[in-house]
Amino acid sequence: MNATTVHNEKSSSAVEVRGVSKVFANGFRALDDINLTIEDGQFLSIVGPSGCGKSTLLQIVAGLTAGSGGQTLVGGKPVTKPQPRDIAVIFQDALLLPWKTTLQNVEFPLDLQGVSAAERHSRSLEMIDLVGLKEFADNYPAQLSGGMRQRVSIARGLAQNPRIILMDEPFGALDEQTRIRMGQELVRIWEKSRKTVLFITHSLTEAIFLSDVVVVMGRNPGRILERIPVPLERPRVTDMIGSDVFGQLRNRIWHLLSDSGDTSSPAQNL
Amino acid sequence: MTRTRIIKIVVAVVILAAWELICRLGLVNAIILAPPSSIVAAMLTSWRDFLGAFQVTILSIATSIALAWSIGIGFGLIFGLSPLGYGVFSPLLTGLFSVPLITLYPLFLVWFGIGPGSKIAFAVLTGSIPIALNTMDGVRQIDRSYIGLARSIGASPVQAYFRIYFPLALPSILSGLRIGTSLVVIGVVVCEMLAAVDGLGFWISYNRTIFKTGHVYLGITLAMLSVVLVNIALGHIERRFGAMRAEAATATV
Repeated sequence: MNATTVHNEKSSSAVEVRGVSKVFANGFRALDDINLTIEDGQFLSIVGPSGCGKSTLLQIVAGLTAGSGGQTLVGGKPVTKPQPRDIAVIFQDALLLPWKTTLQNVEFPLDLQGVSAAERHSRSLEMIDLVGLKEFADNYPAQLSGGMRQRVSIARGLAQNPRIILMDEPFGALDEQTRIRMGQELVRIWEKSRKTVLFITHSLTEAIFLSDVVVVMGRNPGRILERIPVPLERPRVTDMIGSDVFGQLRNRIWHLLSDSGDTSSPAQNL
Repeated sequence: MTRTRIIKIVVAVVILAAWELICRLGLVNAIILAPPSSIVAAMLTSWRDFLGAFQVTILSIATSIALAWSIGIGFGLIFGLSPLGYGVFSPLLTGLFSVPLITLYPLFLVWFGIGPGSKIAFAVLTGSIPIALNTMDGVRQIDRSYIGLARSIGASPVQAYFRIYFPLALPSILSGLRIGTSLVVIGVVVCEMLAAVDGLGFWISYNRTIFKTGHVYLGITLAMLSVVLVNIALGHIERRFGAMRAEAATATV
């Protein structure tokens, strides 16, 4: 392998996970030899049963937890700590600061990083507009619905202007209806911003609908079962969910999960 | 002026007048119950002593409050986030909080002498315990995911404590400050009554021993005044601290 190909590899893949494992202090093997590449601008979802280590994997990529072995590269550099300028993390709960308005919440990370008031203001307003909350910029979190709060948290992540967004079951706490609407919103936002996204979910439908690639994980130990490209075209529309291609993909993932001996949790969301 | 306020004033005047009348008519011994006018008389004869004592007490209270707040909040923030720190100090402080600490005051006298040092040290001890306990509880109740958020958005430890954890724990901290501050005021005045050379507590005790009941009442009145002043100051700070929280909370539709 010559120097040029190495350089090409670095520039095309945003995230590269090489042989990462995680063993907890009690001996539990949460992740075993994980290899995963996310291309620049790709939307990749991970589905898998509870306890397959998908959240732990996200934490390792985020630099919030250290792996027990292997290496994670983001933009070609090893990740050892959080990278607020390159990576934004969206958590399951919106985690807004209740004493701050929508605008102030979105501005907060930029404020911490010392971005000038004028710039963080315009960047934040742009993102609030993008997530469709323009009229709620001056509202407090208590005045917003669960879905709106999560949209504020997505705007907060986008305003950091990261190259990579890591989303850890961001719609897991929402009701089914809101969840579907949020999925559509996210597709719309992503198609405009084209960030690299690593998305973790329990829902097979959500994973297929949103992603370019779905990675299926199994547990005991946490490992990758298969990497499945999604051949649906963009822009994605909800009608696709009823299509044959969609149904076949969902069946395939479902069988992968069933064969690995776990049918309990994805069944609820099939 | 509202109707309620007029009625309140009328009631107060009637009570004071009745009290004065009972004393003037000689229905009770003046040592047991001195008339309200004796407070005025005491003020006229001994205002210099009491003004000095009032200053001493207020200064001790202010110093103790500043120390108790800083120590209590600082301690609580540091140990509340660490499971080990919480496990060690929460039962310890809860235990101390339920013990009548005034029994330790003789030791404080030996260590710090009969001056402002011993009463301030005692007041800070009693006041900072509930503040530390409430702060620890407030911090512990913060959703742990906020720690991940703080790190992922690039907050330094100082930024995380001051701009995320402290405000998140604020409602609990404020209730700790209410309890702690009133314990500080009680601590200072009680210590002055037990052993001191100046301050309102000392003058109350001293005048009681020489049966100058009017002077005792004056001391009590001034001690109450200091509590009122502290409460007004506390209310201001609570409103400033809590304004943003209150705004966010009451805005709930």
